[in-house]
Amino acid sequence: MDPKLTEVSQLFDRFKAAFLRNDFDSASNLLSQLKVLLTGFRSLPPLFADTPNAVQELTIARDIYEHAVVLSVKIEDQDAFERDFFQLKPYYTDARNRLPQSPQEYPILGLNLLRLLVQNRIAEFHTELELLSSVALENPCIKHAVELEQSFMEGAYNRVLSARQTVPHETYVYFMDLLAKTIR
Amino acid sequence: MTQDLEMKDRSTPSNTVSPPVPSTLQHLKEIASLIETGSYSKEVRRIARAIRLTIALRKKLTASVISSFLDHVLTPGSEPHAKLSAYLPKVDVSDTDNFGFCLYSSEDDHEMEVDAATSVIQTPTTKHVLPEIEIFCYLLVLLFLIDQKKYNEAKACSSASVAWLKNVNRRTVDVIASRLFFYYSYSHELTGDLAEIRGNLLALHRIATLRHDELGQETLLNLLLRNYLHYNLYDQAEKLRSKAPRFEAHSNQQFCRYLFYLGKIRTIQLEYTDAKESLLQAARKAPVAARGFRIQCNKWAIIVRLLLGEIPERTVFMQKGMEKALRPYFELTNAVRIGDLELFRNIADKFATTFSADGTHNLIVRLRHNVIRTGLRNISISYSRISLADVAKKLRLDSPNPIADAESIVSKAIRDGAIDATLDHANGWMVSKETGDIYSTNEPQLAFNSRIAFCLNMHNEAVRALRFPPNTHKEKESAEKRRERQQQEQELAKHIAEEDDDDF
Repeated sequence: MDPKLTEVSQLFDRFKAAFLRNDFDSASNLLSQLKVLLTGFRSLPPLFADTPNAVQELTIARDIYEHAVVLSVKIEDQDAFERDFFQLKPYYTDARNRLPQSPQEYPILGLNLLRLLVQNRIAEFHTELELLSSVALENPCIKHAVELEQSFMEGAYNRVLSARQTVPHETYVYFMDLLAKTIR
Repeated sequence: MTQDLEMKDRSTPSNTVSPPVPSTLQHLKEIASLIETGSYSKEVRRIARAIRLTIALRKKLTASVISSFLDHVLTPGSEPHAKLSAYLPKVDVSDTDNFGFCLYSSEDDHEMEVDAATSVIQTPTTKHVLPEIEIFCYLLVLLFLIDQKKYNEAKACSSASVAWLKNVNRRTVDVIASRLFFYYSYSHELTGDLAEIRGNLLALHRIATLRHDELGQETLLNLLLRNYLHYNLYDQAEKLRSKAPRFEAHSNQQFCRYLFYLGKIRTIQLEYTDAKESLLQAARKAPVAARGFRIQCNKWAIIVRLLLGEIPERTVFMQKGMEKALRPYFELTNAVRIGDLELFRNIADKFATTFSADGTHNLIVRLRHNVIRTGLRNISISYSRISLADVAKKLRLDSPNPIADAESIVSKAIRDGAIDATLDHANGWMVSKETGDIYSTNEPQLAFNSRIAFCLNMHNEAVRALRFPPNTHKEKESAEKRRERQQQEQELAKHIAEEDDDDF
């Protein structure tokens, strides 16, 4: 196996361990090291070079960015979230035919929708929505965000408030709290 | 100038003396010589006319006609000739079209003589083929392949031609090139791999910009927008659109398309007022023959107007030839007008497939909110005081706690100024205020103002849209020339109608 890839995966394991221990400081340190290492891979966007390890590299890079997004939610940093999400997005859109779908894809997309809603960026919310297929719209995580937007537009705030109890994913709670604050 | 006269000499007898239609091959040859004169005299207008004439011939193209045309203009055995003929199927002699072709062949021979006698330029060019002619041949073969539904061959042919085009830098090529770009993208769309050519199109757009090829830029920008919107990439489309240079429109069709794509992007980004303007303008500017395009424009325009809270007039749905296509949207409008959530839901379910095929499904989901608004407005007009439970029942809100829902919906509507009422929380009532006489307010003035502004704008646009041929002020035209021009104009008017039909 490629030594660079081994290095990254070892570092990533340490990062995951720190992440699970809720040791966010060391996790963010490890994350920035990981991101620097990722720049060495030529198979990642925007180059998409056809290297022999392309699939493994893409998968691990996607995994890293997915964790980065969740981490940014946990440390409640919206700017970092946006940055990480945009770094992650090419893996979902442009690398779709190279990789099997990630199980984390829909929760993270839903999370992003929720973020746009919280920041009151409705136009971007709808632009993102157009990108989703009808299968994606059926997913509970995304449906949740879409329904929230509807009740929000109608003014049925009590429904938004009660939606906090039915969140599909534990990371959603942070944004729901922000939303509830806006409503009040 | 002499070439001009020659051309006229040749075209007038064929139009007046020989009433039966001259063969397709003969037409093609005429077009080729038109392109040649155009490229020598550097008049883009002539080439544009040649393209229009070609489109008129499109339905008559057959493999045999094209291959004999290729033999005529390109040297047999040369590289482009070999490449292009490879795309054509083997000529089948028993073909009925060939029979028709044979019928005219005697006349054709005669014309050929005239041809050889008058246009001296054609013989020497067999050694050195003009790039215009070569591109024109590509276009012809491509048109034929697309009409024959040989999309894969069309794809190969168009890719080859576009690769070759990148090296040609002549202003007279632009017109043909822009058509070629269009079919290049079209053939890829038909085979379903539009994403592949995106990079290529961007490169072509860059080249066109560097060469000040405005028509090419316009066409390519539209193709790129289409490419992005095909995959719902509204974000990228908007970024490209806002960064790309804009100038006065050269082609009405391209401008219509641009307006349509712009309208779509604006709709998604919730800028409904602007979206409505560009969609309606696109629908109005589009030629009558482009029915499919106008239906699409109307569909989007209807939804945007509904989202704006307007109700489109009945005449919109009753336009000739569109009743059937607009039927789902008509019923949808009805539901919004009545403000009946139940009916709205039923219609959205009933026509779900149509709506998702049109890509308007998400927009219709957004409409729900407007339905509630209209319903609420109706209630507030008809009742001076109504309990929230009744409001919920009338709006048919189906949720576990309808009264609380109704309360918050009503309060938001009041805050947004949609209805003029107050909430009595203690008793659970909505109390509507009396609406005053609308004619005592500024409302009529504002309405008149917007109408007058619209009319003035239209007038200005019309004045600006007048086009003049480039050289009219330089030389006084002789009676003869005027006759020629009038004839050309008539032809042009006829062909524009046909081409538009073809274009959409």
